[in-house]
Amino acid sequence: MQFLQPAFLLGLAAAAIPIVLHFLHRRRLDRIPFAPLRFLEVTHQRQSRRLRFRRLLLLVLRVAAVVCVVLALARPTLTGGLNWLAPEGTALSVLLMVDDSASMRAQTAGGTVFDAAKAQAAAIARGLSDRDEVCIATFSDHLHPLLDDFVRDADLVLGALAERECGWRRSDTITSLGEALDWMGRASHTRREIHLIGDIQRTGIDSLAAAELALRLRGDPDLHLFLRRVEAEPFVNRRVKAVEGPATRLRPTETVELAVEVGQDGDRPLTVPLFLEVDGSKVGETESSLPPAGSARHAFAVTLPEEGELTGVVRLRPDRYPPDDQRWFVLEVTGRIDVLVLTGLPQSEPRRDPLLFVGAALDPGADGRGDFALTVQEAARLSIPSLQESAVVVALDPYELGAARLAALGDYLRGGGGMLLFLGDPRERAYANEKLLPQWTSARLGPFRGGRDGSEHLVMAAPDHPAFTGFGEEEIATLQEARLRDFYRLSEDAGRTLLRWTDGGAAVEEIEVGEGRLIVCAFHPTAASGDLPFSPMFLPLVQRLTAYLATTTGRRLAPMVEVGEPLVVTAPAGLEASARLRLRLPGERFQTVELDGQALPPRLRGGEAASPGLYTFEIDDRPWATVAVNVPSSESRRSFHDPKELKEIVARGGATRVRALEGEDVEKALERARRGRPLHRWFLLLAALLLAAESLLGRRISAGEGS
Amino acid sequence: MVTQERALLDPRELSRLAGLDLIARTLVEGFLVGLHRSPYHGFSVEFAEYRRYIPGEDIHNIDWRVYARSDRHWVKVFQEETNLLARLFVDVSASMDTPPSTGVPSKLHYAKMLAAGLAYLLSRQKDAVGLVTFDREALEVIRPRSSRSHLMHLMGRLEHARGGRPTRVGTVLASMADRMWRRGLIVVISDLIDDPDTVLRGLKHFRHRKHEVLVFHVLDPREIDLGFDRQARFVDPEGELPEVTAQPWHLREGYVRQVEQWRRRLSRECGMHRIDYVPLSTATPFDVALLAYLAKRSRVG
Repeated sequence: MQFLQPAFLLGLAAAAIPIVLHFLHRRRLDRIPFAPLRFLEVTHQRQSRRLRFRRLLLLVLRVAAVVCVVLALARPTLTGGLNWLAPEGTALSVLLMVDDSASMRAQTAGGTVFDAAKAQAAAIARGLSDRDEVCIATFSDHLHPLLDDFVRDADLVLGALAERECGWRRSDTITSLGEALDWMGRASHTRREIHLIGDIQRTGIDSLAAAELALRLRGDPDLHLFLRRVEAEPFVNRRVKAVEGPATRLRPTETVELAVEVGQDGDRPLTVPLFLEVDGSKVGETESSLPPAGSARHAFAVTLPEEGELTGVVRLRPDRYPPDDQRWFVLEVTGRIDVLVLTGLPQSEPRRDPLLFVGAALDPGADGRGDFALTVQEAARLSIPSLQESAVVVALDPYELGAARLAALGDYLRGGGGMLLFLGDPRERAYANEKLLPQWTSARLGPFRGGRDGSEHLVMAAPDHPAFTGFGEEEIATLQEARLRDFYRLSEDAGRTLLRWTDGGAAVEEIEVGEGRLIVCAFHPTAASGDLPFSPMFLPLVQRLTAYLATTTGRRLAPMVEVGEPLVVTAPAGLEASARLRLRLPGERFQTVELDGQALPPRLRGGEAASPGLYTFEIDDRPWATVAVNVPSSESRRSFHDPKELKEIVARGGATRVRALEGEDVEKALERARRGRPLHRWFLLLAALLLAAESLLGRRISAGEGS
Repeated sequence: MVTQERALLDPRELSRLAGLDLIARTLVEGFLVGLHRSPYHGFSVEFAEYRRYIPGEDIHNIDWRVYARSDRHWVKVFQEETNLLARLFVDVSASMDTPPSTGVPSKLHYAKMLAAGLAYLLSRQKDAVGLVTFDREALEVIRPRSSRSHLMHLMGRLEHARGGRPTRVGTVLASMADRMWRRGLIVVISDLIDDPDTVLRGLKHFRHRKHEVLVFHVLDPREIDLGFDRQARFVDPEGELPEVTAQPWHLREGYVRQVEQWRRRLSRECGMHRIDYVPLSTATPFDVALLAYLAKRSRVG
């Protein structure tokens, strides 16, 4: 048996307390001269043996109880032949988990925190015996084993560790630990250890996953988990928190405002230089005055190119945690927008034809030279290629689409397409509610309101919506002056209401469908339905909604992502399978790209982003789309768990074989922890039993008082 | 009134008085007042017996007033005529001087009060009374006399008697028996803390010398019932036995049985040799002892 806190053994001297008290008590007893002492002596001799035994037993119980409490405080552990769980000398299977999340790139004395963690892992590997087996893995959001299996050669581990560089991903300790438990299934020894070495960043723990992990640890008594924290000395971290372009469509050669948010976590005001680089050249510089533990916003004016995209990076002067001192961005320039216009039932009069008014709104010059390139098709004759080539669909009471075309349109939407849907024909309500809308949403058209029921104005319900950016009060007032006689009301449980009727019913709703967007307008944009088509705001309204759908569901899907997220862009229409596809990585490296032709529209998939920077998809060596990748924002939070906190979380299921190794002499602590099974609870239980027995015996001895 | 008289015989009350002579007088007077109203009236020491005058006797003894009334010569018989020699053996050893139970006198004080009362009563009856105080040996021996001044002297000696050494009751009694050839009444007042065989041998020795023997065996109430309620270290006041640390309640039953056996044996063996054995506790009123004496006295004649 070993003691983890041997200093407490000095407390064994306390065992003398009951003995001293025993004799002091005897000394304190009254001294009574008693003449017939010989009669007392005779009786006493007869009974004294039993009494003396009981008193001695009482004293022994008291001493034993004190000894048990002292031993419990000294944290005894079972070792040697007594330890059936971990007999001394049993070979170990050890998994070393080194945190390589982005936060481990913080600078500390002699390198990064990751370097310090590697050094600790190497020390553990070197300390193992020839019979022990070991495996090394890094972890961030997942476990990444560096060897295929456990090995007995520590040099292999040290070699794999030396080559490894710190990653850029976010931390997910609980998930990684769960995967480590799975990995331990490969271990060949009964006694197994996992050593988690990292900064144990406070990244928000999924309590369900933590509970599951705790239960798994509890159910495996031969597995020991050791938690070690490595950390940098405290410093003030400053970071570029966000870079955002305008939410609206960006036109070629337009000058737009690039918003930048910078923050710091120190407790003093700070002024730091801020740089903007576009296409590799510094184009802007400013001083950012940061309040204590706060942030500041800045704006850079940038001019967009003729076509393609504007890429760049916003930088701060590097501090001791460089990964979040820069942030990459992409501003996509949208040229002409390919719009597929789907028409429904033919109209007898031009004033009832929505195509007439919507077409005029999207192509005011009727010369095909505006911002929108229109392709008009009857909905019943919708072709898949034309759907693939369009950036957005404007559907005017589509009717009798058929199952295949409905499914294609649904795939288009769910795959990231956008559709502006006008539903105002009283003849089509049943079709819309039963066939069309159920494909994508739970929204339904209410009863048709004809002209005899009176007219309603439109009311702006979402003035902050990106589609309405730039709409002032005057514009909104003008829009709200328009009246419609024939319209529906939409049920509102499906999406965001953008415009309402005067009586409060929903007129225009935006609904997310998969990765795409659907905007439903519950009216007919015709002269027969009201005076909206003649409003000065009709053209901006239709164009804004169409452009919004085209830009937010465009080819880059998500042009700015974080490390670890998938790199996916929309493939160009008509891309041939023989085209040479590749992904240009930061540092002039290349990676293959997969064409997903099953998706609608087709996608180019470049795997997961491994590091921050600009990733450019190339088709036949020509750039097609760029994605900006940045360090996960969670990795910029310089807040860490105490190892004991993490221990509490994962040991909540009652697992006692989880230890937080802290302090300078962690090797010694590890050595002590390895030596056996904790027994202090048993000693405390034994002490309680002894005290209970002492109490019973004491009462029994004293019982004669009443007799 | 009766209550007041009983109070005069209560050792607790009497022990508050100062001076053995006062105690003795109070005790005896209270006893006698009570006795006149008691069934023991016939034993009254005040009874003056008349008998016919025998020619040749001293005519001073004739009660002329009776003669005047009855025309007969009657002689008034006085107590001193019995010519009783009483010797009070009072144990003053260390065992007699142990701390008493609450509210009662110590055994030594009780023995002194009882001895004083008996001496006073004997003296009042014109009997000669002597005193022997002893522990492991006779400390003081006062020969019996019946004078008033002797009684005062005896009281004074008794008051200051103190031994403080171990008891040797049997040895002392045996040695004194050899020295007292003149028959009389031997009154032993002791806790008899000694070997019972030796004690009985000493008492029998007196009987062998034709003495009448009356033994007052005085014990403290707690020595009879072991009425202690706390654990304590019990020590031998005479320093001869090792101390006993005990919780008395555990030993009470066995101890009481032992003491009863002891007292029964003394009583039985004394009875076999016509020795009057009177067990007393220091809480026992003195009339018990005095009545026992009177009973004995009546037998002695």
